[in-house]
Amino acid sequence: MLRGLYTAATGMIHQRNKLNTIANNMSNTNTRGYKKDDVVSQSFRDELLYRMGGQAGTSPRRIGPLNHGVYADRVITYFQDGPLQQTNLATDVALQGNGFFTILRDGQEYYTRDGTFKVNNEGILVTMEGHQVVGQYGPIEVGQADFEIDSQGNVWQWGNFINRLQLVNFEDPTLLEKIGDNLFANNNPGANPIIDFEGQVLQGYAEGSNVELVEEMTDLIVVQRSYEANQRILQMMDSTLEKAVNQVGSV
Amino acid sequence: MIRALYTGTTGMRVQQHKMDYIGNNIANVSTIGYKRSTPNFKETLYDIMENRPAEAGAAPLVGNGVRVASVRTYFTQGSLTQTNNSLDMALEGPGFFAIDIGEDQATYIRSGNFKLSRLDNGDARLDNWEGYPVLNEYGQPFYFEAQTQEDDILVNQDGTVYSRDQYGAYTYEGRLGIYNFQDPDTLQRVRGSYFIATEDSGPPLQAVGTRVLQRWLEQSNVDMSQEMTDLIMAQRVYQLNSRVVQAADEMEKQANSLRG
Repeated sequence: MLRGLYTAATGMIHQRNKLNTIANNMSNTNTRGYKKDDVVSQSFRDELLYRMGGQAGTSPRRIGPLNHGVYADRVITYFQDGPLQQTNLATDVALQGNGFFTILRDGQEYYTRDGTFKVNNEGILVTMEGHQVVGQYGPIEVGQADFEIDSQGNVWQWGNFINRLQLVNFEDPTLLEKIGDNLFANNNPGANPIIDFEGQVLQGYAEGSNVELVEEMTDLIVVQRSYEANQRILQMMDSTLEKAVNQVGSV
Repeated sequence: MIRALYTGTTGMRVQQHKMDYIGNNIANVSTIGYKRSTPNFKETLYDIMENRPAEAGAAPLVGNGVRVASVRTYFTQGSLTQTNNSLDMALEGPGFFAIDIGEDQATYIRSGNFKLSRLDNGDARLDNWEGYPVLNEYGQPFYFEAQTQEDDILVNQDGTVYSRDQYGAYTYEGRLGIYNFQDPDTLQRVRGSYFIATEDSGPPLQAVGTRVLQRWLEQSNVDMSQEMTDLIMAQRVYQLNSRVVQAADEMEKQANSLRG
């Protein structure tokens, strides 16, 4: 009986965690290059229940397996492409297919799908916050003049090749860690090596968030109702306990 | 307290900012030389969803919402319309006119609806529509003889200015100062539509290849259909985030009424 109380509570906690993730997805519906998260649930390990006691000499009777509720096992990021929006700005770049831009922040390489760039006062291609966009041959220097980026990520100016965007992909992108600011970090390069980018680069486009509002809304309803159901069960057990404590045995 | 309550609020807040920018763009749909701007969003930090024992493996992460990270001004060309005023000028290509509005440093503006102001000594000066002098490439105003009329002024595409005297002869008066910046996104706005250079934007550079068109005006580059689409989107996302806040509140209420 008391066991059930805790099981229902794990359900409530789990639904609350799911709501937090849904809330983060929804607030990032308009964030460029955002990739939606989803919580994967996992039940606690099964236990085998036996009935003990009874007459001396009888062996305990097996009742069956039981588990103690649910928890968030991990968060999966979905890397499907977001919708493309035409902006006609030469410094807006979008990727199609799996892969990332490489950004240098505080001397560390990070990865992003948000290709909202600009040219800084030294003529170098940077993010809107001023972090360098990494090219295969160092910083991408375009100066004040127009430049073109082709579908392979090569940067051209006046018909000359000047650099190539460092575009990467990973063996298992789900191992990347989100660190905020639309950036991903690869904390374990040994276990998750960089592989070639095989998608396409589009200049003058921005990739929107891949959050699907209908899906999130449905999830929201499910979460809210499951939370409610768990709450009811908790209350029910509480009232049963109350009867056991206060009424059984009273004459 | 439940985190989603705050996460949902960040979502509502950034959409409100977005709405402000859209409103400003729409209000300036017919402002000469106006450039549309729009905020860019970024995720906020991620942290651990819940504490768990070390043997359970790495705890999953959860985000805390969204923030306005930067504002992008679209310095793209607005459409050009012909006028009959010889002191209407439009820039074709990147760059700004230099205007002296009495700040410590030169200010820059895209709109070129100029006029002739009469000075106390009878001379004329080339001013913008607010009465601030337009500067030449050396940072000096343009002065003309007293009898010079607006139609006597000729501006070539390279920005050189000539005035015609009563005999029909043209005198060279100087060249309009047309400047561009390495990083115009970091220019600072002053007094509404003027810009001043900042450390990040770099010093003003003579604009190369930008043409001056006399008797033309550059319209605002706001595209109404784009703004309306953005507006609908911003409104819906705002609504959805308010739903999240409601749901979080509802759930808190249920937790609170466990012992009803």
